[in-house]
Amino acid sequence: MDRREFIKIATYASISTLVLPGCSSQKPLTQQTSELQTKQAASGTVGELIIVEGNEPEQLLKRGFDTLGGIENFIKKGNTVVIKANFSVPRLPEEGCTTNPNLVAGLVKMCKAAGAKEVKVIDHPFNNPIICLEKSGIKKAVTEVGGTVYALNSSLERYFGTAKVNGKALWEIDYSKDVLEADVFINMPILKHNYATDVSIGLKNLMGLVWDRGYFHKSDLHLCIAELAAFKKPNLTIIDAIRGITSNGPTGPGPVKDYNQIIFSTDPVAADAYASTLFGKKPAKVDYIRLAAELGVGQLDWEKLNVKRV
Amino acid sequence: MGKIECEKSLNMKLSVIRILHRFLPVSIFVITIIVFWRHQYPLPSDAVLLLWFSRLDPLLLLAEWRNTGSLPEWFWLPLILIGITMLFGRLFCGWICPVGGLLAQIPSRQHNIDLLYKGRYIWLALVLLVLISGSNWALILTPFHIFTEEFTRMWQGKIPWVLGGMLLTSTLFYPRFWCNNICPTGLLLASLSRIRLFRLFVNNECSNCMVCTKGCHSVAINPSERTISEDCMLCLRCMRNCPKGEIKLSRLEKAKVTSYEMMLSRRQFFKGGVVLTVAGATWPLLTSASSIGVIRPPGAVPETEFLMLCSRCGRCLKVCPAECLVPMPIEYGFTAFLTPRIIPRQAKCELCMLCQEVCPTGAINKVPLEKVKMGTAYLDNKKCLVYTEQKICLLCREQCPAHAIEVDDRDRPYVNSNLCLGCGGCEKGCPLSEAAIVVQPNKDSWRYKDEN
Repeated sequence: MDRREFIKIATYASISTLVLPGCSSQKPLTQQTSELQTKQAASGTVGELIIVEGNEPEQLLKRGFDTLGGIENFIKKGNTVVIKANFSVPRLPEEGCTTNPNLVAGLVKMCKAAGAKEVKVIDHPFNNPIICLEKSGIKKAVTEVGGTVYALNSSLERYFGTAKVNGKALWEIDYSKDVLEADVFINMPILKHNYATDVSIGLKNLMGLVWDRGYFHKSDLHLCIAELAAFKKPNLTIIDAIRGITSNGPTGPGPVKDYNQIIFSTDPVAADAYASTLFGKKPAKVDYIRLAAELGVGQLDWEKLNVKRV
Repeated sequence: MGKIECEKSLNMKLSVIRILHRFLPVSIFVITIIVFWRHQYPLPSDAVLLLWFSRLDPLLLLAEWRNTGSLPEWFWLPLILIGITMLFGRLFCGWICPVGGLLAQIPSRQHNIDLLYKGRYIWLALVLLVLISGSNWALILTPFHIFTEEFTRMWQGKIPWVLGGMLLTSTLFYPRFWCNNICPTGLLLASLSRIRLFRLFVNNECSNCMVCTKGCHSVAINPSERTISEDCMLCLRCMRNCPKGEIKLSRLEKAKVTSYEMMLSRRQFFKGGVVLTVAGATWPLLTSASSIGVIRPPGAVPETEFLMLCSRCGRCLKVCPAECLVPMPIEYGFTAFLTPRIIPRQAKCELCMLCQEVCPTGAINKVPLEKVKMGTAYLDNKKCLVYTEQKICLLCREQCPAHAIEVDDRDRPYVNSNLCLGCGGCEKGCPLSEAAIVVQPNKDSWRYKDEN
């Protein structure tokens, strides 16, 4: 049997599992999505999009949460908080390829002050995790304020659990256990360039919670990202758009641009949509944002949200 | 001052020396392990200590001098050691060497293997010849190199055969068996120690009770002939143990030098000549280095030279945070055995360049990132998903730290070989079961950019 034949048979076999009873479990997805939808329906109100301008990370965070009505709306006493930052490449903070370490540390500090039991900062770098943690400055900054920070690279068993996505491109993936078990999940991406998807923001950042990302690239990258976002929506997205590379992403180094703002929203699609305009892209032209909106993850037309600039 | 008081103060001094000798070599052993352990990312500044420890070794100076044709800036360090050895003997072996610090913990025994012992200077000559002819292979046997090589093996979860053999022979024969028969540094210092100015003597009033020999770790004392050989490492156990206080440290009188067997006898010389001739015949096996097409660490000198310069100390393997450097197995032949290579599909080079920092021999040169060229990536369009299935993969482009993957007008990737460093990020990243993009090592002649 040659490779092509093998792949063919494997494909038929996997398709047949969809039809055969018991082979695929549709239930978890329906529960998940219905839960999401009811939550959105229950809130009923229009989502908020807060744009905070400036370049002092801690101040930006404070102003943002004040406008959102305080961090207590998100974090209750004794909560376990997971922050998905971006430290996937071995670059210095000023090179604009990784989330601003002071921003991450500032958020950890605020979560702690709000009574969080544990704050974990995670990523699954596609470069050496030791170097990434060190160079990005995130390890030092987060440890100093009492948070825990680690890369998910070392162990599939320890950090990942099987999750059923049951989408068109993604069926079953190994997804971060920390996020699945967290009380509060905050996505904290950096706005930067990415060769494969043009721009990397919040939804793309969620790829760092998956064990096998090669699969995303092998199948339909944009659809995979959208379905991943539909599977698990962050409770809050805070986009670091203080400084980011405008080319040579995601690895860099590349030309940087200072946008000098951070973006808060409970709607991950709207947050990305607005950020993509900063990058000079129409949101609808970024496939994964459009597809996520179509899957009902959030609002593509960010201006329909309650937008506040502070 | 009475004789008793004199003895008392001597005993005091001896017990101080005893305590010192109990702790100093062991502490150096422990410090070396700690510093070796600290060979990791980010490299702490004290890691340089191991480099300086290694530079104590006159053999490294010889290798460096032969390699560069000039003396390195640290040349004074081994020269001081040579000077000390010519004055006091093998002080280094007894008090500083970390391998010695380990072997000193083994209980004393006295089984000398005559054949080995007599042939040891021929062995030294052979090692020196290998070294001078350009192969740093010989350096692996020197204390700091074998030490780190063996501990790297242990760190990698392999069995440290040489360390095991060292400990076994030391237990079976006598503690300093390795130091007196195999260690080239020890033998070099022993040969220098033959003319040492200050040495221990057995006085004529000795009653041949042989208590001193039982405690000697180095089988250096011959009470019946009233001599202590060049293997004395100045632990001064014999001085403490002698019930009559007949072993004394004193300056060598000139008259005694001639009577002391300074030079090799004619027979020994002749024998040595024969052995060296035989060795010469098997020479190519030991020193010739054929080029092997593998990817070497960033900054490695051209292949043939690399095989000659690498001492197989294993420090680059230990320090590599990506664990992308792996020792080559024996299957690739003796000349490449244990040299570091990169297998990109297993782990790519992160270009942290720490291997350059820790390399003691210059096999991995200090080359800035802009000049690094480990190899060149080649993309197979017939396999690449972007070409075959029009996917938006571009993982290779995402991974490339040199931006050497460019795209054509249809967003299909190709390699700009001028920019490619050969780190292997693309090969590692390729999501296909068999990578569509593969790094090929450079031609033998060049390893850096702007060459050729």
